[in-house]
Amino acid sequence: MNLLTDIFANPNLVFLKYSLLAGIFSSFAFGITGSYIVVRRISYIAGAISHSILGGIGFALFISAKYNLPWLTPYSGAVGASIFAALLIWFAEKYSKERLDSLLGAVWAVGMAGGIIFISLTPGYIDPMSYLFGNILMVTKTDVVVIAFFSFFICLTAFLFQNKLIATSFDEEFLEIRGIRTDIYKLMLLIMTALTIVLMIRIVGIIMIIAMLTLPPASASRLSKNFFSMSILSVILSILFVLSGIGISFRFDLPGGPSIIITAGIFYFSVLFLSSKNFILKFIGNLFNK
Amino acid sequence: MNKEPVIKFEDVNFSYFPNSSPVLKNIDFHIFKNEIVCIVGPNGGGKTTLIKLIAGILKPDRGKIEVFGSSPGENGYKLGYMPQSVHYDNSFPISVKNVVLMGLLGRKGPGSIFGWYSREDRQKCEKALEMVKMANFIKQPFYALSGGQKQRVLIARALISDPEILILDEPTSNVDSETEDNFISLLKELNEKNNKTIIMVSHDMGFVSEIVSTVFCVNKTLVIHPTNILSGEIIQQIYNCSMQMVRHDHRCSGKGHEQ
Ligand SMILES: Nc1ncnc2c1ncn2[C@@H]1O[C@H](COP(=O)(O)OP(=O)(O)OP(=O)(O)O)[C@@H](O)[C@H]1O
Ligand SMILES: [Mg+2]
Repeated sequence: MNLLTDIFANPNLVFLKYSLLAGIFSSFAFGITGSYIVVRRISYIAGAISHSILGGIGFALFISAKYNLPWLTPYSGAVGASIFAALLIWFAEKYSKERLDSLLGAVWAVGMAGGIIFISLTPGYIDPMSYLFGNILMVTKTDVVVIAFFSFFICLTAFLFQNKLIATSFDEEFLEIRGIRTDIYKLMLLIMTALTIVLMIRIVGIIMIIAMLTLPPASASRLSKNFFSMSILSVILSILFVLSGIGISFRFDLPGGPSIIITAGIFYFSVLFLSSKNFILKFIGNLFNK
Repeated sequence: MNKEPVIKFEDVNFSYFPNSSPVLKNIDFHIFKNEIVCIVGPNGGGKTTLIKLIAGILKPDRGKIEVFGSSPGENGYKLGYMPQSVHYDNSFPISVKNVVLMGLLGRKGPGSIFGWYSREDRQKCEKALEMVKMANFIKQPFYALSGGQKQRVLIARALISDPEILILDEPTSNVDSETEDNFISLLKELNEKNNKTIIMVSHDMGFVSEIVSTVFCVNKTLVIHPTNILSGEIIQQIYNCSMQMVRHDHRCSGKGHEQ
Protein backbone atom coordinates (compact mmCIF):
# COMPACT_ATOMS: atom_id res chain seq x y z
CA MET A 1 0.00 0.00 0.00
CA ASN A 2 2.91 2.29 0.83
CA LEU A 3 4.40 1.78 -2.59
CA LEU A 4 1.07 2.50 -4.26
CA THR A 5 0.53 5.83 -2.47
CA ASP A 6 4.16 6.66 -3.11
CA ILE A 7 3.78 6.09 -6.83
CA PHE A 8 1.03 8.61 -7.16
CA ALA A 9 2.36 11.14 -4.65
CA ASN A 10 6.12 10.98 -5.02
CA PRO A 11 7.30 13.02 -8.03
CA ASN A 12 10.46 10.90 -8.30
CA LEU A 13 8.38 7.85 -9.01
CA VAL A 14 6.23 9.50 -11.66
CA PHE A 15 7.72 7.22 -14.36
CA LEU A 16 6.37 4.25 -12.45
CA LYS A 17 2.91 5.78 -12.52
CA TYR A 18 3.06 5.98 -16.30
CA SER A 19 4.27 2.38 -16.55
CA LEU A 20 1.39 1.15 -14.43
CA LEU A 21 -1.20 3.15 -16.36
CA ALA A 22 0.23 1.96 -19.70
CA GLY A 23 0.13 -1.61 -18.43
CA ILE A 24 -3.48 -1.34 -17.29
CA PHE A 25 -4.78 0.38 -20.44
CA SER A 26 -3.01 -1.92 -22.86
CA SER A 27 -4.19 -5.03 -20.97
CA PHE A 28 -7.70 -4.44 -22.27
CA ALA A 29 -6.48 -4.78 -25.84
CA PHE A 30 -4.17 -7.71 -24.97
CA GLY A 31 -6.91 -9.70 -23.29
CA ILE A 32 -9.55 -9.20 -25.95
CA THR A 33 -7.45 -9.49 -29.08
CA GLY A 34 -5.51 -12.32 -27.47
CA SER A 35 -8.72 -14.26 -26.86
CA TYR A 36 -9.54 -14.17 -30.56
CA ILE A 37 -5.98 -15.21 -31.42
CA VAL A 38 -6.18 -18.16 -29.05
CA VAL A 39 -9.58 -19.46 -30.17
CA ARG A 40 -8.70 -19.01 -33.84
CA ARG A 41 -5.31 -20.68 -33.23
CA ILE A 42 -3.43 -18.02 -35.14
CA SER A 43 -0.64 -17.13 -32.74
CA TYR A 44 1.83 -17.79 -35.55
CA ILE A 45 0.19 -14.95 -37.51
CA ALA A 46 0.68 -12.68 -34.51
CA GLY A 47 4.30 -13.85 -34.37
CA ALA A 48 4.91 -12.98 -38.02
CA ILE A 49 3.30 -9.54 -37.70
CA SER A 50 5.23 -8.70 -34.55
CA HIS A 51 8.62 -9.64 -35.97
CA SER A 52 7.96 -7.85 -39.24
CA ILE A 53 7.54 -4.68 -37.20
CA LEU A 54 11.28 -4.40 -36.67
CA GLY A 55 11.49 -3.76 -40.42
CA GLY A 56 9.12 -0.81 -40.08
CA ILE A 57 10.98 0.57 -37.08
CA GLY A 58 14.35 0.29 -38.85
CA PHE A 59 12.96 1.84 -42.00
CA ALA A 60 11.50 4.79 -40.09
CA LEU A 61 14.75 5.36 -38.17
CA PHE A 62 16.82 5.23 -41.34
CA ILE A 63 14.61 7.48 -43.49
CA SER A 64 14.04 9.89 -40.67
CA ALA A 65 17.80 10.28 -40.09
CA LYS A 66 18.72 10.37 -43.76
CA TYR A 67 16.13 12.90 -44.92
CA ASN A 68 15.79 14.67 -41.61
CA LEU A 69 12.13 13.93 -41.04
CA PRO A 70 11.61 14.16 -37.28
CA TRP A 71 7.90 13.33 -37.54
CA LEU A 72 8.71 9.89 -38.87
CA THR A 73 9.04 8.22 -35.47
CA PRO A 74 9.89 4.54 -34.94
CA TYR A 75 6.32 4.07 -33.75
CA SER A 76 4.75 5.34 -36.94
CA GLY A 77 7.07 2.91 -38.75
CA ALA A 78 5.80 0.15 -36.47
CA VAL A 79 2.15 0.98 -37.16
CA GLY A 80 2.83 1.09 -40.92
CA ALA A 81 4.69 -2.22 -40.94
CA SER A 82 2.14 -4.05 -38.82
CA ILE A 83 -0.81 -2.90 -40.95
CA PHE A 84 1.13 -3.75 -44.10
CA ALA A 85 1.92 -7.25 -42.80
CA ALA A 86 -1.71 -7.77 -41.77
CA LEU A 87 -2.96 -6.78 -45.23
CA LEU A 88 -0.38 -8.99 -46.93
CA ILE A 89 -1.40 -12.00 -44.86
CA TRP A 90 -5.07 -11.30 -45.49
CA PHE A 91 -4.60 -11.03 -49.26
CA ALA A 92 -2.45 -14.13 -49.37
CA GLU A 93 -5.01 -16.15 -47.44
CA LYS A 94 -7.81 -14.91 -49.67
CA TYR A 95 -6.31 -15.06 -53.13
CA SER A 96 -3.10 -17.04 -53.19
CA LYS A 97 -2.63 -20.78 -53.18
CA GLU A 98 0.69 -20.37 -51.35
CA ARG A 99 0.82 -22.26 -48.07
CA LEU A 100 0.20 -19.75 -45.34
CA ASP A 101 2.96 -20.95 -43.04
CA SER A 102 5.64 -20.47 -45.70
CA LEU A 103 4.47 -16.91 -46.28
CA LEU A 104 4.39 -16.22 -42.55
CA GLY A 105 7.94 -17.51 -42.18
CA ALA A 106 9.02 -15.12 -44.93
CA VAL A 107 7.22 -12.11 -43.43
CA TRP A 108 8.70 -12.97 -40.04
CA ALA A 109 12.34 -13.31 -41.13
CA VAL A 110 12.46 -10.69 -43.88
CA GLY A 111 10.96 -8.13 -41.50
CA MET A 112 13.60 -8.86 -38.86
CA ALA A 113 16.47 -8.89 -41.35
CA GLY A 114 15.32 -5.67 -43.01
CA GLY A 115 15.01 -4.00 -39.64
CA ILE A 116 18.52 -4.93 -38.52
CA ILE A 117 20.00 -3.80 -41.85
CA PHE A 118 18.22 -0.43 -41.76
CA ILE A 119 19.30 0.09 -38.16
CA SER A 120 22.93 -0.64 -39.03
CA LEU A 121 22.73 1.80 -41.95
CA THR A 122 21.33 4.54 -39.74
CA PRO A 123 24.01 6.98 -38.57
CA GLY A 124 24.60 7.08 -34.82
CA TYR A 125 24.21 4.21 -32.40
CA ILE A 126 20.75 2.70 -31.99
CA ASP A 127 20.20 -0.11 -29.58
CA PRO A 128 17.64 -2.55 -31.01
CA MET A 129 17.39 -4.20 -27.59
CA SER A 130 14.70 -1.87 -26.29
CA TYR A 131 12.49 -2.75 -29.27
CA LEU A 132 13.22 -6.44 -29.03
CA PHE A 133 12.67 -6.76 -25.28
CA GLY A 134 10.61 -3.69 -24.42
CA ASN A 135 11.18 -1.27 -21.61
CA ILE A 136 8.06 -0.57 -19.66
CA LEU A 137 9.84 1.66 -17.15
CA MET A 138 10.63 4.14 -19.94
CA VAL A 139 6.99 4.85 -20.84
CA THR A 140 6.18 8.57 -21.25
CA LYS A 141 2.98 10.51 -20.72
CA THR A 142 2.39 10.67 -24.50
CA ASP A 143 2.78 6.90 -24.71
CA VAL A 144 0.09 6.46 -22.08
CA VAL A 145 -2.32 8.67 -24.01
CA VAL A 146 -1.63 6.87 -27.30
CA ILE A 147 -1.96 3.45 -25.64
CA ALA A 148 -5.25 4.43 -23.98
CA PHE A 149 -6.64 5.70 -27.28
CA PHE A 150 -5.74 2.62 -29.33
CA SER A 151 -6.80 0.24 -26.61
CA PHE A 152 -10.19 1.93 -26.35
CA PHE A 153 -10.62 1.81 -30.12
CA ILE A 154 -9.76 -1.90 -30.25
CA CYS A 155 -12.10 -2.78 -27.40
CA LEU A 156 -14.94 -0.76 -28.90
CA THR A 157 -14.60 -2.56 -32.24
CA ALA A 158 -14.49 -5.94 -30.54
CA PHE A 159 -17.53 -5.06 -28.44
CA LEU A 160 -19.68 -3.72 -31.26
CA PHE A 161 -19.00 -6.59 -33.65
CA GLN A 162 -18.67 -9.34 -31.06
CA ASN A 163 -21.37 -11.65 -32.42
CA LYS A 164 -20.07 -11.54 -35.96
CA LEU A 165 -16.43 -11.83 -34.93
CA ILE A 166 -17.13 -14.85 -32.75
CA ALA A 167 -19.33 -16.47 -35.40
CA THR A 168 -16.69 -15.91 -38.08
CA SER A 169 -14.15 -17.60 -35.88
CA PHE A 170 -16.47 -20.52 -35.13
CA ASP A 171 -18.14 -21.32 -38.46
CA GLU A 172 -17.17 -19.24 -41.47
CA GLU A 173 -19.00 -21.37 -43.99
CA PHE A 174 -22.35 -20.86 -42.31
CA LEU A 175 -21.98 -17.08 -42.38
CA GLU A 176 -21.01 -17.12 -46.04
CA ILE A 177 -24.31 -18.79 -46.88
CA ARG A 178 -25.98 -15.93 -45.07
CA GLY A 179 -24.22 -13.48 -47.39
CA ILE A 180 -21.98 -12.18 -44.60
CA ARG A 181 -18.56 -11.06 -45.81
CA THR A 182 -16.43 -13.08 -43.43
CA ASP A 183 -13.28 -11.80 -45.14
CA ILE A 184 -14.08 -8.33 -43.77
CA TYR A 185 -14.36 -9.63 -40.23
CA LYS A 186 -11.15 -11.59 -40.65
CA LEU A 187 -9.44 -8.39 -41.80
CA MET A 188 -10.90 -6.58 -38.80
CA LEU A 189 -9.35 -9.17 -36.50
CA LEU A 190 -5.99 -8.91 -38.27
CA ILE A 191 -5.94 -5.11 -37.97
CA MET A 192 -6.89 -5.38 -34.28
CA THR A 193 -4.04 -7.83 -33.88
CA ALA A 194 -1.61 -5.53 -35.69
CA LEU A 195 -2.48 -2.51 -33.53
CA THR A 196 -2.43 -4.51 -30.32
CA ILE A 197 1.03 -5.74 -31.22
CA VAL A 198 2.27 -2.17 -31.69
CA LEU A 199 1.04 -1.35 -28.18
CA MET A 200 2.96 -4.28 -26.84
CA ILE A 201 6.37 -3.28 -28.16
CA ARG A 202 6.86 -0.83 -25.29
CA ILE A 203 5.65 -3.29 -22.71
CA VAL A 204 7.19 -6.67 -23.51
CA GLY A 205 9.10 -6.11 -26.77
CA ILE A 206 8.83 -7.78 -30.17
CA ILE A 207 10.20 -11.16 -29.23
CA MET A 208 7.86 -11.88 -26.33
CA ILE A 209 4.65 -10.51 -27.83
CA ILE A 210 3.24 -13.93 -28.68
CA ALA A 211 3.56 -14.94 -25.06
CA MET A 212 1.68 -11.91 -23.80
CA LEU A 213 -1.04 -12.39 -26.42
CA THR A 214 -1.57 -16.07 -25.71
CA LEU A 215 -0.75 -16.81 -22.06
CA PRO A 216 -3.57 -14.79 -20.40
CA PRO A 217 -6.34 -16.03 -22.77
CA ALA A 218 -5.02 -19.58 -22.76
CA SER A 219 -5.14 -19.57 -18.95
CA ALA A 220 -8.56 -17.93 -19.03
CA SER A 221 -9.99 -20.43 -21.48
CA ARG A 222 -9.26 -23.21 -19.00
CA LEU A 223 -11.36 -21.39 -16.45
CA SER A 224 -14.35 -20.20 -18.49
CA LYS A 225 -17.20 -21.65 -20.53
CA ASN A 226 -17.91 -18.99 -23.08
CA PHE A 227 -16.01 -16.46 -25.09
CA PHE A 228 -17.30 -13.44 -23.21
CA SER A 229 -16.15 -14.62 -19.80
CA MET A 230 -12.91 -15.83 -21.35
CA SER A 231 -12.05 -12.38 -22.70
CA ILE A 232 -13.02 -10.56 -19.51
CA LEU A 233 -10.89 -12.95 -17.48
CA SER A 234 -8.00 -12.51 -19.94
CA VAL A 235 -8.10 -8.76 -19.42
CA ILE A 236 -8.05 -9.19 -15.64
CA LEU A 237 -5.19 -11.68 -15.84
CA SER A 238 -3.23 -9.40 -18.19
CA ILE A 239 -3.56 -6.54 -15.74
CA LEU A 240 -2.42 -8.78 -12.89
CA PHE A 241 0.57 -10.08 -14.83
CA VAL A 242 1.68 -6.65 -16.02
CA LEU A 243 1.34 -5.09 -12.58
CA SER A 244 3.11 -7.88 -10.74
CA GLY A 245 5.77 -7.95 -13.45
CA ILE A 246 6.40 -4.24 -13.01
CA GLY A 247 6.46 -4.70 -9.23
CA ILE A 248 9.00 -7.52 -9.46
CA SER A 249 11.11 -5.65 -11.95
CA PHE A 250 11.15 -2.48 -9.82
CA ARG A 251 11.70 -4.27 -6.52
CA PHE A 252 14.48 -6.62 -7.66
CA ASP A 253 15.91 -4.44 -10.41
CA LEU A 254 15.15 -6.96 -13.14
CA PRO A 255 14.15 -6.26 -16.77
CA GLY A 256 10.39 -5.48 -17.04
CA GLY A 257 9.25 -7.48 -20.09
CA PRO A 258 10.76 -10.79 -18.98
CA SER A 259 9.39 -10.32 -15.45
CA ILE A 260 5.87 -9.94 -16.86
CA ILE A 261 6.25 -12.96 -19.12
CA ILE A 262 7.66 -15.16 -16.36
CA THR A 263 4.74 -14.23 -14.10
CA ALA A 264 2.25 -15.05 -16.87
CA GLY A 265 4.09 -18.27 -17.71
CA ILE A 266 4.14 -19.54 -14.14
CA PHE A 267 0.41 -18.88 -13.86
CA TYR A 268 -0.34 -20.59 -17.17
CA PHE A 269 1.65 -23.71 -16.34
CA SER A 270 0.02 -23.90 -12.90
CA VAL A 271 -3.46 -23.72 -14.42
CA LEU A 272 -2.47 -26.26 -17.03
CA PHE A 273 -1.12 -28.58 -14.38
CA LEU A 274 -4.08 -28.21 -12.03
CA SER A 275 -6.68 -28.69 -14.76
CA SER A 276 -4.96 -31.77 -16.11
CA LYS A 277 -3.79 -33.09 -12.75
CA ASN A 278 -6.03 -36.14 -12.87
CA PHE A 279 -4.84 -36.94 -16.34
CA ILE A 280 -1.18 -36.62 -15.37
CA LEU A 281 -1.62 -38.69 -12.20
CA LYS A 282 -3.36 -41.39 -14.22
CA PHE A 283 -0.58 -41.36 -16.79
CA ILE A 284 2.10 -41.73 -14.10
CA GLY A 285 0.00 -44.39 -12.40
CA ASN A 286 -0.22 -46.33 -15.65
CA LEU A 287 3.55 -46.12 -16.11
CA PHE A 288 4.13 -47.77 -12.75
CA ASN A 289 1.41 -50.35 -13.12
CA LYS A 290 2.94 -51.78 -16.26
CA MET B 1 -48.89 -26.85 -56.31
CA ASN B 2 -47.00 -23.63 -57.04
CA LYS B 3 -45.57 -23.93 -60.52
CA GLU B 4 -42.68 -21.49 -60.16
CA PRO B 5 -39.63 -23.49 -59.02
CA VAL B 6 -37.75 -22.19 -55.95
CA ILE B 7 -34.54 -23.89 -57.06
CA LYS B 8 -33.48 -24.33 -60.66
CA PHE B 9 -30.39 -26.14 -61.99
CA GLU B 10 -29.70 -26.01 -65.72
CA ASP B 11 -27.06 -28.37 -67.06
CA VAL B 12 -24.64 -27.76 -64.19
CA ASN B 13 -21.13 -29.20 -64.05
CA PHE B 14 -18.84 -28.94 -61.07
CA SER B 15 -15.29 -30.03 -60.27
CA TYR B 16 -13.15 -29.11 -57.27
CA PHE B 17 -9.97 -28.54 -59.28
CA PRO B 18 -9.63 -26.94 -62.71
CA ASN B 19 -9.27 -29.55 -65.48
CA SER B 20 -10.02 -32.48 -63.21
CA SER B 21 -12.93 -34.75 -63.99
CA PRO B 22 -16.23 -33.31 -62.72
CA VAL B 23 -17.70 -34.45 -59.42
CA LEU B 24 -21.16 -33.55 -60.72
CA LYS B 25 -22.14 -33.71 -64.40
CA ASN B 26 -25.14 -32.45 -66.39
CA ILE B 27 -27.23 -31.75 -63.31
CA ASP B 28 -30.63 -30.49 -64.35
CA PHE B 29 -33.65 -30.19 -62.07
CA HIS B 30 -36.35 -27.99 -60.57
CA ILE B 31 -37.47 -28.03 -56.95
CA PHE B 32 -40.87 -26.51 -56.24
CA LYS B 33 -42.23 -24.84 -53.14
CA ASN B 34 -43.43 -27.25 -50.49
CA GLU B 35 -41.54 -30.24 -51.85
CA ILE B 36 -39.60 -32.60 -49.62
CA VAL B 37 -36.60 -33.86 -51.50
CA CYS B 38 -34.40 -36.62 -50.22
CA ILE B 39 -30.93 -36.95 -51.73
CA VAL B 40 -29.50 -40.46 -51.63
CA GLY B 41 -26.40 -41.98 -53.16
CA PRO B 42 -23.11 -43.69 -52.37
CA ASN B 43 -20.31 -42.09 -50.34
CA GLY B 44 -18.46 -39.62 -52.54
CA GLY B 45 -21.38 -39.54 -54.96
CA GLY B 46 -21.60 -35.75 -54.71
CA LYS B 47 -24.55 -35.21 -52.35
CA THR B 48 -22.81 -32.67 -50.14
CA THR B 49 -21.35 -30.98 -53.20
CA LEU B 50 -24.82 -30.58 -54.69
CA ILE B 51 -26.12 -29.04 -51.47
CA LYS B 52 -23.20 -26.63 -51.28
CA LEU B 53 -23.96 -25.50 -54.83
CA ILE B 54 -27.53 -24.71 -53.78
CA ALA B 55 -26.27 -22.83 -50.72
CA GLY B 56 -23.84 -20.83 -52.87
CA ILE B 57 -20.73 -22.03 -51.02
CA LEU B 58 -19.46 -23.53 -54.30
CA LYS B 59 -19.80 -22.01 -57.78
CA PRO B 60 -20.57 -24.16 -60.84
CA ASP B 61 -18.05 -24.56 -63.70
CA ARG B 62 -20.80 -24.61 -66.24
CA GLY B 63 -24.56 -24.15 -66.33
CA LYS B 64 -26.92 -21.97 -64.36
CA ILE B 65 -28.26 -22.14 -60.80
CA GLU B 66 -31.15 -20.05 -59.54
CA VAL B 67 -32.51 -19.89 -56.00
CA PHE B 68 -35.70 -17.82 -55.67
CA GLY B 69 -35.03 -16.49 -59.15
CA SER B 70 -31.59 -15.05 -58.39
CA SER B 71 -28.11 -16.49 -58.06
CA PRO B 72 -27.46 -18.59 -54.95
CA GLY B 73 -26.03 -16.66 -52.02
CA GLU B 74 -28.23 -13.62 -52.64
CA ASN B 75 -31.09 -15.03 -50.62
CA GLY B 76 -29.00 -16.65 -47.94
CA TYR B 77 -31.32 -15.60 -45.17
CA LYS B 78 -34.15 -17.65 -46.68
CA LEU B 79 -32.05 -20.81 -46.39
CA GLY B 80 -31.65 -22.78 -43.20
CA TYR B 81 -28.53 -24.85 -43.61
CA MET B 82 -27.22 -27.65 -41.48
CA PRO B 83 -23.77 -28.94 -42.46
CA GLN B 84 -22.82 -32.62 -42.49
CA SER B 85 -19.74 -32.28 -40.36
CA VAL B 86 -20.09 -31.52 -36.68
CA HIS B 87 -16.32 -31.52 -36.28
CA TYR B 88 -15.89 -28.02 -34.97
CA ASP B 89 -12.90 -27.00 -32.92
CA ASN B 90 -13.71 -28.95 -29.77
CA SER B 91 -12.27 -26.40 -27.40
CA PHE B 92 -13.99 -23.34 -28.86
CA PRO B 93 -15.68 -21.61 -25.91
CA ILE B 94 -19.18 -20.94 -27.23
CA SER B 95 -22.51 -21.73 -25.59
CA VAL B 96 -25.35 -23.66 -27.19
CA LYS B 97 -27.37 -20.44 -27.08
CA ASN B 98 -24.82 -18.51 -29.11
CA VAL B 99 -24.47 -21.28 -31.67
CA VAL B 100 -28.23 -21.24 -32.29
CA LEU B 101 -28.39 -17.43 -32.35
CA MET B 102 -25.78 -17.44 -35.14
CA GLY B 103 -28.66 -18.60 -37.32
CA LEU B 104 -30.07 -15.06 -37.10
CA LEU B 105 -26.97 -13.30 -38.41
CA GLY B 106 -27.17 -11.82 -41.87
CA ARG B 107 -30.60 -10.26 -41.49
CA LYS B 108 -31.27 -7.12 -43.44
CA GLY B 109 -32.50 -4.09 -41.57
CA PRO B 110 -31.41 -1.37 -39.14
CA GLY B 111 -28.62 -2.32 -36.79
CA SER B 112 -27.84 -5.44 -38.75
CA ILE B 113 -24.22 -4.43 -39.39
CA PHE B 114 -23.43 -5.10 -35.76
CA GLY B 115 -25.42 -8.31 -35.56
CA TRP B 116 -26.74 -7.83 -32.04
CA TYR B 117 -29.46 -10.06 -30.67
CA SER B 118 -32.67 -8.73 -29.14
CA ARG B 119 -34.80 -10.17 -26.36
CA GLU B 120 -37.18 -11.48 -29.01
CA ASP B 121 -34.25 -13.28 -30.63
CA ARG B 122 -33.46 -15.02 -27.36
CA GLN B 123 -37.05 -16.23 -27.19
CA LYS B 124 -36.78 -17.56 -30.73
CA CYS B 125 -33.63 -19.35 -29.65
CA GLU B 126 -35.45 -21.06 -26.79
CA LYS B 127 -38.27 -22.07 -29.12
CA ALA B 128 -35.90 -23.50 -31.71
CA LEU B 129 -34.14 -25.51 -29.01
CA GLU B 130 -37.46 -26.79 -27.71
CA MET B 131 -38.32 -28.05 -31.18
CA VAL B 132 -35.28 -30.32 -31.10
CA LYS B 133 -35.71 -31.07 -27.38
CA MET B 134 -32.47 -29.40 -26.35
CA ALA B 135 -33.88 -26.49 -24.30
CA ASN B 136 -32.25 -27.78 -21.11
CA PHE B 137 -28.81 -27.40 -22.64
CA ILE B 138 -29.11 -23.74 -23.59
CA LYS B 139 -26.36 -22.59 -21.22
CA GLN B 140 -23.97 -25.50 -21.79
CA PRO B 141 -20.79 -25.07 -23.80
CA PHE B 142 -21.26 -26.52 -27.29
CA TYR B 143 -18.08 -28.60 -27.15
CA ALA B 144 -19.36 -30.53 -24.15
CA LEU B 145 -22.25 -32.09 -26.10
CA SER B 146 -22.35 -35.53 -27.71
CA GLY B 147 -22.34 -35.87 -31.50
CA GLY B 148 -26.10 -36.38 -31.71
CA GLN B 149 -26.81 -33.47 -29.36
CA LYS B 150 -24.57 -31.25 -31.48
CA GLN B 151 -26.56 -32.24 -34.54
CA ARG B 152 -29.80 -31.32 -32.82
CA VAL B 153 -28.40 -27.92 -31.88
CA LEU B 154 -27.31 -27.36 -35.48
CA ILE B 155 -30.82 -28.24 -36.65
CA ALA B 156 -32.12 -25.61 -34.22
CA ARG B 157 -29.67 -23.13 -35.73
CA ALA B 158 -31.09 -23.91 -39.17
CA LEU B 159 -34.67 -23.47 -37.90
CA ILE B 160 -34.33 -20.28 -35.86
CA SER B 161 -34.49 -17.86 -38.79
CA ASP B 162 -37.78 -19.42 -39.98
CA PRO B 163 -36.28 -20.07 -43.43
CA GLU B 164 -38.32 -20.91 -46.50
CA ILE B 165 -36.01 -23.72 -47.54
CA LEU B 166 -34.39 -26.09 -45.09
CA ILE B 167 -31.22 -27.79 -46.31
CA LEU B 168 -30.05 -30.60 -44.08
CA ASP B 169 -26.97 -32.72 -44.76
CA GLU B 170 -27.44 -36.06 -43.00
CA PRO B 171 -29.43 -34.59 -40.12
CA THR B 172 -30.01 -37.90 -38.42
CA SER B 173 -26.72 -39.73 -38.90
CA ASN B 174 -25.90 -39.55 -35.19
CA VAL B 175 -29.25 -39.30 -33.48
CA ASP B 176 -31.10 -42.07 -31.67
CA SER B 177 -34.28 -43.57 -33.10
CA GLU B 178 -36.62 -41.70 -30.78
CA THR B 179 -35.10 -38.37 -31.79
CA GLU B 180 -35.30 -39.46 -35.38
CA ASP B 181 -39.03 -40.19 -35.07
CA ASN B 182 -39.58 -36.80 -33.44
CA PHE B 183 -37.54 -35.25 -36.17
CA ILE B 184 -39.59 -36.84 -38.92
CA SER B 185 -42.82 -35.52 -37.39
CA LEU B 186 -41.19 -32.10 -36.98
CA LEU B 187 -40.27 -32.00 -40.66
CA LYS B 188 -43.74 -33.15 -41.62
CA GLU B 189 -45.28 -30.39 -39.53
CA LEU B 190 -42.94 -27.71 -40.90
CA ASN B 191 -43.80 -28.85 -44.39
CA GLU B 192 -47.55 -29.12 -43.99
CA LYS B 193 -48.33 -26.25 -41.61
CA ASN B 194 -45.58 -23.79 -42.46
CA ASN B 195 -45.15 -24.63 -46.15
CA LYS B 196 -41.42 -25.18 -45.88
CA THR B 197 -39.48 -26.68 -48.74
CA ILE B 198 -37.11 -29.29 -47.39
CA ILE B 199 -34.02 -30.77 -48.99
CA MET B 200 -32.09 -33.34 -47.11
CA VAL B 201 -29.38 -35.90 -47.56
CA SER B 202 -30.10 -39.17 -45.90
CA HIS B 203 -28.81 -42.70 -45.93
CA ASP B 204 -31.97 -43.77 -44.20
CA MET B 205 -34.56 -45.22 -46.55
CA GLY B 206 -37.21 -44.92 -43.85
CA PHE B 207 -37.52 -41.27 -44.74
CA VAL B 208 -38.26 -41.97 -48.34
CA SER B 209 -41.45 -43.88 -47.82
CA GLU B 210 -42.81 -41.73 -45.01
CA ILE B 211 -42.66 -38.09 -45.96
CA VAL B 212 -40.53 -37.52 -49.03
CA SER B 213 -42.13 -36.37 -52.28
CA THR B 214 -39.08 -36.73 -54.54
CA VAL B 215 -35.91 -38.79 -54.34
CA PHE B 216 -32.69 -37.59 -55.97
CA CYS B 217 -30.16 -40.33 -56.66
CA VAL B 218 -26.80 -38.62 -56.94
CA ASN B 219 -23.78 -40.47 -58.20
CA LYS B 220 -21.88 -37.99 -60.36
CA THR B 221 -25.06 -37.67 -62.40
CA LEU B 222 -28.58 -37.20 -61.13
CA VAL B 223 -31.60 -39.46 -61.49
CA ILE B 224 -34.91 -38.16 -60.13
CA HIS B 225 -37.64 -40.42 -58.75
CA PRO B 226 -40.98 -38.91 -57.76
CA THR B 227 -42.51 -40.97 -54.95
CA ASN B 228 -46.15 -40.25 -55.78
CA ILE B 229 -46.01 -42.92 -58.46
CA LEU B 230 -44.17 -45.51 -56.43
CA SER B 231 -44.24 -48.42 -58.84
CA GLY B 232 -42.30 -51.53 -58.03
CA GLU B 233 -39.77 -50.59 -60.66
CA ILE B 234 -39.07 -47.17 -59.12
CA ILE B 235 -38.70 -48.63 -55.64
CA GLN B 236 -36.20 -51.02 -57.16
CA GLN B 237 -34.25 -48.15 -58.77
CA ILE B 238 -34.11 -46.14 -55.55
CA TYR B 239 -33.07 -49.24 -53.74
CA ASN B 240 -30.27 -49.86 -56.27
CA CYS B 241 -29.05 -46.32 -55.84
CA SER B 242 -28.62 -46.69 -52.12
CA MET B 243 -27.54 -50.31 -52.57
CA GLN B 244 -24.36 -48.98 -54.10
CA MET B 245 -23.85 -47.30 -50.80
CA VAL B 246 -24.50 -50.48 -48.91
CA ARG B 247 -22.10 -52.41 -51.09
CA HIS B 248 -19.53 -49.67 -50.68
CA ASP B 249 -19.86 -49.92 -46.92
CA HIS B 250 -19.63 -53.65 -47.15
CA ARG B 251 -16.40 -53.45 -49.11
CA CYS B 252 -14.92 -51.17 -46.48
CA SER B 253 -15.66 -53.55 -43.68
CA GLY B 254 -14.70 -56.42 -45.98
CA LYS B 255 -11.05 -55.48 -45.51
CA GLY B 256 -11.34 -56.88 -42.03
CA HIS B 257 -12.22 -60.29 -43.43
CA GLU B 258 -9.28 -60.35 -45.79
CA GLN B 259 -6.73 -59.89 -43.04
N1 LIG C 1 -13.19 -29.93 -50.54
C1 LIG C 1 -12.98 -30.85 -51.49
N2 LIG C 1 -11.90 -30.77 -52.29
C2 LIG C 1 -11.68 -31.67 -53.26
N3 LIG C 1 -12.49 -32.71 -53.53
C3 LIG C 1 -13.58 -32.86 -52.78
C4 LIG C 1 -13.89 -31.94 -51.72
N4 LIG C 1 -15.04 -32.32 -51.14
C5 LIG C 1 -15.45 -33.44 -51.79
N5 LIG C 1 -14.57 -33.76 -52.78
C6 LIG C 1 -14.71 -34.88 -53.72
O1 LIG C 1 -15.96 -34.76 -54.38
C7 LIG C 1 -16.62 -36.00 -54.44
C8 LIG C 1 -18.03 -35.88 -53.87
O2 LIG C 1 -17.95 -35.56 -52.50
P1 LIG C 1 -19.21 -35.27 -51.59
O3 LIG C 1 -18.72 -34.79 -50.28
O4 LIG C 1 -20.15 -34.39 -52.33
O5 LIG C 1 -19.85 -36.73 -51.44
P2 LIG C 1 -21.12 -37.19 -50.61
O6 LIG C 1 -22.06 -37.80 -51.60
O7 LIG C 1 -21.63 -36.11 -49.75
O8 LIG C 1 -20.51 -38.37 -49.73
P3 LIG C 1 -20.83 -38.83 -48.21
O9 LIG C 1 -21.93 -39.82 -48.27
O10 LIG C 1 -19.57 -39.48 -47.79
O11 LIG C 1 -21.14 -37.62 -47.41
C9 LIG C 1 -15.75 -37.01 -53.72
O12 LIG C 1 -15.10 -37.78 -54.70
C10 LIG C 1 -14.74 -36.19 -52.97
O13 LIG C 1 -13.48 -36.81 -53.04
MG1 LIG D 1 -21.78 -35.77 -47.75
